[in-house]
Amino acid sequence: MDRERTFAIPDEVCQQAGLSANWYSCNKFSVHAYRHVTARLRDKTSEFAPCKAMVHHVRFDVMLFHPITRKLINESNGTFLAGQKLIEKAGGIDTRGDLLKLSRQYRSIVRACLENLQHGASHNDSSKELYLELVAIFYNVEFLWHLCEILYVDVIPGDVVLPQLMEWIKFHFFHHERQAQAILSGDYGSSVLDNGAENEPQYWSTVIGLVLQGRLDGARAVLKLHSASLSEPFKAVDYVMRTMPLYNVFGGLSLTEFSMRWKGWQNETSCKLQAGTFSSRKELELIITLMVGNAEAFLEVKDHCGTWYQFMASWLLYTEPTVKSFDLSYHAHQCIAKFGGISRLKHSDLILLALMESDLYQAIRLIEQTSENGWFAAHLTNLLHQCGCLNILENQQGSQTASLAIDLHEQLLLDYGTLLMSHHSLWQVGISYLDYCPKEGRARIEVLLPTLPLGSEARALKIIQAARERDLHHIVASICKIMGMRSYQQQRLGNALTWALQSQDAGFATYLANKFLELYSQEGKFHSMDLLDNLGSCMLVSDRLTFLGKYCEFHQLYQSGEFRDAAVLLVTLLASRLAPKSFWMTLLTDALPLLESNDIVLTSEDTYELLNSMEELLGDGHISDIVSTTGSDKMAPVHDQSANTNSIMGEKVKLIRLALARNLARSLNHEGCLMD
Amino acid sequence: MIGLAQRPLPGNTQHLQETDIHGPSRIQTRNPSKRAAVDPAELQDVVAGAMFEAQSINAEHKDLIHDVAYDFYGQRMATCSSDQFVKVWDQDEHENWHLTASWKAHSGSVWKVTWAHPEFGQVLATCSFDRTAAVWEEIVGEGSVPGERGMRHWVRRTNLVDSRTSVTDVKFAPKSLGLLLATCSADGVVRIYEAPDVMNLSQWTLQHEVSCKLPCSCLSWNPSFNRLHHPVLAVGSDDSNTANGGKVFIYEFSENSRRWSKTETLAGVTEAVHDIAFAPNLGRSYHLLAIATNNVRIVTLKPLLDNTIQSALTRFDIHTVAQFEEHNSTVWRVCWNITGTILASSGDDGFVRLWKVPTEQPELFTFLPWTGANTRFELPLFLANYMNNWKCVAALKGDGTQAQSEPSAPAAPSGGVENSNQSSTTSRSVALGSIQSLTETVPGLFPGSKGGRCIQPTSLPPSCADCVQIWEPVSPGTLWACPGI
Repeated sequence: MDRERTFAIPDEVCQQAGLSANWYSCNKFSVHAYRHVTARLRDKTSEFAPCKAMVHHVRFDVMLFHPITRKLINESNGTFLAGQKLIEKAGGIDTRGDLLKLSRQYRSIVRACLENLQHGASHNDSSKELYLELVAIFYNVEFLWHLCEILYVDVIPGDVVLPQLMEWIKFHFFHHERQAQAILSGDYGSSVLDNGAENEPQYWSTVIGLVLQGRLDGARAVLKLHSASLSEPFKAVDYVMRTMPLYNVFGGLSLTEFSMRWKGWQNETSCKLQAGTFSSRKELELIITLMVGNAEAFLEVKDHCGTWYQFMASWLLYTEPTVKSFDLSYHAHQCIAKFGGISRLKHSDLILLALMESDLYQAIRLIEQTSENGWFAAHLTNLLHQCGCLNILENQQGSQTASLAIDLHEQLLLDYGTLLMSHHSLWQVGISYLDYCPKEGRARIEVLLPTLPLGSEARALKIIQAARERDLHHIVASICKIMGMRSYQQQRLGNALTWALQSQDAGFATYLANKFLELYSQEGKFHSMDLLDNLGSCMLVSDRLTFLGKYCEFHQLYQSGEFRDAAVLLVTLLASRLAPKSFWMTLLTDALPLLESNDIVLTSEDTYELLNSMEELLGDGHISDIVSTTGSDKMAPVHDQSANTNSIMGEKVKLIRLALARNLARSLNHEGCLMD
Repeated sequence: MIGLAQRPLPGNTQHLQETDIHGPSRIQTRNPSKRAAVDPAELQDVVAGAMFEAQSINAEHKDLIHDVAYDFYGQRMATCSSDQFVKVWDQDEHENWHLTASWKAHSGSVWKVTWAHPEFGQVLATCSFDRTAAVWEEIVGEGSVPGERGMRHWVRRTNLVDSRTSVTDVKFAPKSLGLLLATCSADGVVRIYEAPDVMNLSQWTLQHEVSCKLPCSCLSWNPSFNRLHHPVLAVGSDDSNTANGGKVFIYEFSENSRRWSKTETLAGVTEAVHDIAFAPNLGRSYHLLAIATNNVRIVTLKPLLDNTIQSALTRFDIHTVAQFEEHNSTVWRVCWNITGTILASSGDDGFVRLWKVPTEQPELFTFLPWTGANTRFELPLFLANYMNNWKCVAALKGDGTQAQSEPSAPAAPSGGVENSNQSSTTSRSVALGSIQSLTETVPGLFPGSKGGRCIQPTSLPPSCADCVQIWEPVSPGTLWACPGI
């Protein structure tokens, strides 16, 4: 390819000003009108203003993203994964039989997809055109795959490929067969004598077509409907067809034995031909001439074959039925020459030719350029890779090409995986392909996985799961952080804390714990109590969170009336210095009802501890800090530190002091009595 | 008799019987013409060029757009323009873009806009002719229903006013370095700011100030997260005097001296440089840098790790591995896709060209003897091959003639400041026609672009033009239909 394609952006401003592009995904970008301005010029409106500043989002139209191919993608993924497991388990044991099964599975998946498409095309008028196009593509895929399977996946004893090739041709070219059926289902049987089937316009072309495809039973059946079918020449033809030896691996004949029989049959037939047994019937003579492998006769019926490969198969059937696969290249070139030479070949012809020439690298390169978005190339190459066909390249063409082919294998998987990763719901399928790219797969996952839009929490958890499975802990942490930030910005603190705990993000957890405490100081109640009450060992992520958890526990204990336990906890929180200084006043205030309760819940020791904390707090001059909440937060509304609040603080301090003193007196008294 | 409909494959008999598409009754009786579609002789050349689909929105700027930036996920878009406005667009689940905010951000042309990593929240940075750069944060209003699109607005968190000339580029550092912002200005100073508390975006400290002596036009952070690599920043200058030497500078941060210093000047690039971009690093041992100058230049930088012990700074083995002259003119912008596999370049010839990175990447330099960082080698053969394998896979150009034949999209009510939740009515979509219909096969542009077909732009039915709000695709590549009518 020499020149790139040029696409027109329908925008007048773009045409006049020029344009610029920005990517926003692997395969999407936008273009907009752009005129470069340097900073040295005067800042003025452009010559185009006022103009419509359009942004054109351009993306590639991916056929595989059509819902109808969803089944194909998922099923083939299953087969792909089964294949990988098979190879992992096999460990050197011959897996050809299983791989052949996989190959057939792939093909039946394609055929199932074709079935769906056919159904869709006949029931859905609006997208019929698209469906039919997809049918064409996948039909071709299956056609090529079948040949690959015969030549590279299937192990044929003795390498006699022709029977399989004939199957391949028969399987895909059924025009004559269908006509034959039409003729056979006609009512010639009853009145053969007066009205033979030869009056059908397609009669002889059908017979010749059947003979060329080696469907001799069918040909005989059709010939029987001829009005003169009981005449001598017809009987002789029937005999020739009936007696033609067909090679069958499991037929019990060795190759040499078969060759002898076949030669014998051909000589016998030639003799009959020369003796003029068929000369009374021109058509029959032509058929027999074909069956003895006469080159001129074959040229005569070239048009019956349609394509060079059909021609090749027929030619080989009647000239060299034991042809080996490595001779196919020679024959292919001969037949292509008869059909106008290499230059007339279309794309899929070139693929077939490359396959017959055993040039897999070329074949894969050509397949890569077909329009099924890499599905075919990736799966086929992977299968061939597993069959060891790409390694064979190594022996044949030097290590350079082999490493290219193996690179190519990985590249195709990478491309296909990356394509699926760009789809919002097929990314899990895509990532399973990237897993099997030893060289670049992991790096690609690391780039692509975090860029999957997170959407709902469920989806985020799915992505996290995928990252965990692959030990990509930094991606897990990053996603949790993003989800946490998002929840935080939506004022959902509890949710944000859950995400922070998921990723063990100490800094963020501390920040959120502070937020909780701050909200508590403002509103006097906790949000997301159920979460805070059930933190368990998670609270150990950060000191502040531990304090928050413990403080909530204190509230729980207090509310359930276990004052003694609550008091002990409160004192521990202060004594261990776990509580932030800014929160001490709140804790001391919380101690007030405990100090003033009828029963003595705080011992003298405890009371000393509280006094200590009180003195330390007042000594630090922290009182102003206490009044304003932690000031470093960007979301916090600014508090005014009026004299009013200060005086309230003073009152509070006085109250606490009084309570402490009274409790100290009571507890000392009480403890003294106990001593006695 | 000859078995017609039943040619089962061994191993999957049942399945294939059901799915045999040749079933004569099924195809022949219903629609004989369909038969043609499945004849291999006729369907050989389904290989054609890539087809693009385009969805166009009117960004409602009053002048040309200078920069478009997408967030980490490609779901939000920020645009900036000479009209001093910044606009933010959000994509809905149907891939339609909606304008959610629009505000006057500066008192001069806004050159660049860029998103911070979502770990830091929804944060934008802009730079302008008015000598400032600014950091913006999106605030979700109180009382909004969780999960829903609440009242949002963007507030200016800081104004970075250290520059005495136009600030020409602004970029956030890779998130692994923390919340760092680099700016460069026309007086040749590169500034690196840091937000020490990522939860408080109003405090930014000017961490470093480095002068590169020539007017700076662009900068790019090296996205490599490899711990072995020091933070690397590339800066380009659009000084047009070739006598002033190299126009691309590589700055590295040294952990030891805690400062940024210039470690390389790309001597090979002496023309004015208008844009530079490091490619995302997918496990390569070298960095790829794309440079927009009088042509498109691709440079590889391979860190020479042996050298780090002596100078405490990584130095690089630098090679120009590709140079594209196809624009035949100055190249203004370069941009990589997220996997670093395709480069888009914009030239003064009015074209955008897409370059595919060769898939067979040789592990560069492994065979090269090390003789010093600045020594230039003759390109060995494998490098030359690498160069040849770069391909321009597509080009785009504006074409006003097609635009005129399109019915004009309904204009949205012009948005003032804080035009949030205003759903855009300007979205429309066309399939892009190819100017040259080539018969050659086109190698895949994207992983999934191996072929397809080209169709002419589809016009919207004129009757819809004035009443439609949102367009929905009926099926890929075909007409867009209006669900409301």
